[in-house]
Amino acid sequence: MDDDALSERIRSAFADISVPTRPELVGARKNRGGRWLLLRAASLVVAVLLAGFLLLRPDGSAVQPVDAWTAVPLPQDSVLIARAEATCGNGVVSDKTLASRPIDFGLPFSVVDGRGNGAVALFTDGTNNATCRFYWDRSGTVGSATSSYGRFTSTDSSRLDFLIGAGGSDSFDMVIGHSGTLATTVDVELESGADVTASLGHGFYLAWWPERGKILRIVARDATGAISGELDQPHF
Amino acid sequence: MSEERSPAFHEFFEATYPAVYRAVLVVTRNRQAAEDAVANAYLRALERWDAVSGQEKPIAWVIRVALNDAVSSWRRIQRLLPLAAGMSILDESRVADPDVIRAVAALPLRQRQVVALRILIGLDTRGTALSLGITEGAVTAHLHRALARLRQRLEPTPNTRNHDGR
Repeated sequence: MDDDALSERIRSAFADISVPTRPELVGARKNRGGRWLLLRAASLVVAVLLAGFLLLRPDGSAVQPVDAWTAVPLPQDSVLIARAEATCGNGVVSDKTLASRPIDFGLPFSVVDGRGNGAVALFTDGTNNATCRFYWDRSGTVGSATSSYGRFTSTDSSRLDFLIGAGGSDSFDMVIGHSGTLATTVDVELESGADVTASLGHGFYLAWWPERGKILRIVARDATGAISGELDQPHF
Repeated sequence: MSEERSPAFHEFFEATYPAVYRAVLVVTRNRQAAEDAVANAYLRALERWDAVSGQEKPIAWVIRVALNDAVSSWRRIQRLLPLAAGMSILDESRVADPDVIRAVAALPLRQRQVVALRILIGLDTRGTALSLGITEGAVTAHLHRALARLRQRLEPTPNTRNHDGR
């Protein structure tokens, strides 16, 4: 049996193996297009993560609902960035955390990760950093915000790394790091099974989710889809 | 993603999904891991369809992402279903040529990957090399070894048959 005949025999044998149906993918066009599929996928993740109605405590005093958290972040458009800069830079910050506003340190905006009605923004000069968490109501009015100041342990932006993790409560967690030079996407795989797509900006990735969730893997991919960086169960 | 691009994704999915699933199944040797990895890969492709569809071979992008994700998917299944060993066996009950299935499944990982991409997906040597992150020479060598091993297993020599008394 020559190579061609053997190859054909292999193809023929595997053609008998049944293939599972994926109606949600087939139906992406027939129904409401890709957005419907993304919404459905996001809703499944939300169902697992929220298990009903989870709460976010932005400043430890006021309890605010996480409304429509999604595994895929909101686009970093001018509205969201302006909201982050206005809120965290010099706007509505609770008195409790007033002393750690990014503006107090002159830190420039880097990236904001918005999901549902909440967001986390990173302001950094590469070493000094301030992270700011805030949420808004249906009208877009920001309710409150809190921020914290720190210093990164690494300034090497050439490769994927893990700089900040753990939100400090049972209803919030986040991760921040350098995305690496080649990365165009960064995905965070949680122990719960959720895959959270991070927001990218100025060499950093940032993602948050409404639960305390152990990170199993962080994967960065380049424009071709190839893995450009990978961290397995990162922790301090 | 525009509504106008979804039909193109739909057609791409229907045309490539069976081959991609079977190829990833060859590599994972586990139906659930293959199904998860392939579904996730297509979801990622759909999210980035404007970029993926513009590539020379979108199927190569999908298969690469699926194979990369297969390992983590399998880890997840093992955590959730510690007694899922039976799931790792290829279902041979409905195939006409189970010897081939068994023989391919018994190949080393890299050889299974090359067989999956070169023979089941139909990628050329360059596309296979890019997808697996190896050289074209390595693809050729692995495919040669894989076919030789399969031929040896599927075509016993007359002496072997006599020795076995069959």
